[in-house]
Amino acid sequence: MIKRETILHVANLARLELKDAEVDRLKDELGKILNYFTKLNDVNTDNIEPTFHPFPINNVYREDIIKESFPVEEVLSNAPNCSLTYFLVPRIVEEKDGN
Amino acid sequence: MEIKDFTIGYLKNEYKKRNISPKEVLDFVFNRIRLYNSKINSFITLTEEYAYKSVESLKFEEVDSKPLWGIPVAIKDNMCFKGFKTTCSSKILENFVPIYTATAVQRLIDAGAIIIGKTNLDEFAMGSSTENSAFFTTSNPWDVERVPGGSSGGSAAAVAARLVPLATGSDTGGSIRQPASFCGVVGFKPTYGTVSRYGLVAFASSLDQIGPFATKVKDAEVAFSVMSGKDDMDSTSHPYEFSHVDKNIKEYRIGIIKELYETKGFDPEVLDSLNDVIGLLKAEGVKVDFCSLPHLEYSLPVYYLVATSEASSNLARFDGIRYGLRVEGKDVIETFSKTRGQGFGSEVKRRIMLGTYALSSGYYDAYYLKASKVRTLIVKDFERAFKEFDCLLCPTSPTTAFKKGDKTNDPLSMYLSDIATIPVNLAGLPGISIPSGLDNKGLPIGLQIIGRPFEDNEVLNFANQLESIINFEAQPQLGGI
Repeated sequence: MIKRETILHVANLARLELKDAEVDRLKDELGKILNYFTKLNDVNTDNIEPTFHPFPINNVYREDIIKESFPVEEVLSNAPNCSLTYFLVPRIVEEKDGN
Repeated sequence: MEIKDFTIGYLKNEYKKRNISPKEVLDFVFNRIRLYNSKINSFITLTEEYAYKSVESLKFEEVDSKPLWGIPVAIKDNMCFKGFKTTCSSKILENFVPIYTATAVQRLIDAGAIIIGKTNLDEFAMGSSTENSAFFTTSNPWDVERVPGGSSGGSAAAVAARLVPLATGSDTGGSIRQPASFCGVVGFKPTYGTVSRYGLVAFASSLDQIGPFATKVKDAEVAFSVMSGKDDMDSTSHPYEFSHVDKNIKEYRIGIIKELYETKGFDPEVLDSLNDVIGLLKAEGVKVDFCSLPHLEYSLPVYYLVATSEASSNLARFDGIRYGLRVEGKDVIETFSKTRGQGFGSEVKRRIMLGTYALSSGYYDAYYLKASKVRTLIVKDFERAFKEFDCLLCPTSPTTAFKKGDKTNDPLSMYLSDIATIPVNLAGLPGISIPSGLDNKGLPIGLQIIGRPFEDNEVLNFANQLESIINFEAQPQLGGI
């Protein structure tokens, strides 16, 4: 079982606004899915290293050489809102009352 | 002009003899799309004007040197093609026009391929039926009441309906092989890292792989040889160089995966078809035996924990700031939440939630870390099996194509249709689905062949010979060619 508050907490972490009906449905569905996943507890994984990637890979370094980048106009061409050479974003810093 | 066969070999041969021209083939392709796409709904975008322009720039003297000279290709709509919408079948990217082209797509173009359109998928490649597309569901050309599989259902259906001879897909847990199986075509998921993922919209980065759909194994091999190889733009891409092998089928030791044979949930007709193939192989003198992968039964939970965890992190980039949909809120957090809440469909939200939960404080060890450890055991099972066998065989999917709507209300039963393909991604192995027959409803059955990492050429060589032995010639009744 998974609590309604847990769904709301995780939705906030994921920055997902959910409708009430979605919260209810996810509560049931995730409960069922996670319950099925508990079968992993049957497996003994003592002293087993995790696999995060199919093959061992190392960090890839390259020379720090200046190369041509995408033109600013192109990069901004998909922006929902932009001005000059900037993305326009909603207010991030809160305004103090009276200021 | 008459087109008798929709394979690269046939088309190129006709081009060389100047019996037909690439422009005539384009006329043929777009005519078929006009006739049949309204039933199948494979395409989100057609790039007709671009395609006709690019055939004009083909130079006849390059017909031999360019492996895909004049070959029309469809691209799954989660792979960037500069200047054309790449939607991922999502409302959040409905109007997104990429400013660069995916490496795999560019390599197809450089080899002479003509891009004719972008195909439908489950939103962000999350699904097994294309029913999770935000725009429309693609139909299976063998029975339009049924799903084509997914997530690369648009590409699989387009090749099956002979709307195009070649298409690309991406495969995270079966998204190339399962729709290939449902649609009666060849679908190849190469070894992880052999094809650059640059320009493929990321779902689960340790599992995602690009590969081709075709009507014949040989064509999948040509497309793979073109797309594969090291790319500096993808730091996980491998310095892989494809080389064709010619080894007699008798030299392969074949293992039948017991856990995907003796399990409940597999359609008896699907297993009958596998048994027929085993009979054919034995008659050829191929050594066939059972092999056991004891941890395979844990693949599904491992996959859904790993894939959703990686997805929840990858999809954080869709925030309404730099591209895609933006729904304004009173502050930046509310803008993120509203944009994502309205832009993503229900399966994508479900997976982001599952992954965020699995990675969140207090649950990480029990879910994501535990799954990653069991993943190690699955990888080791395969390593053990490949000491004894050269290729492993199993059905690609437990059933043939199911009806639209059958599984949409039960996520777990939908996930189970990838039970045989998922383990292959967890271990990064090459896997191919080829058609092995039809069930009593006249629906195609797929057979999966799995090989050792970076032995893609062996898998393709074995599959190519087995394909001729099975000799599957059936086509959906749309008006075949």
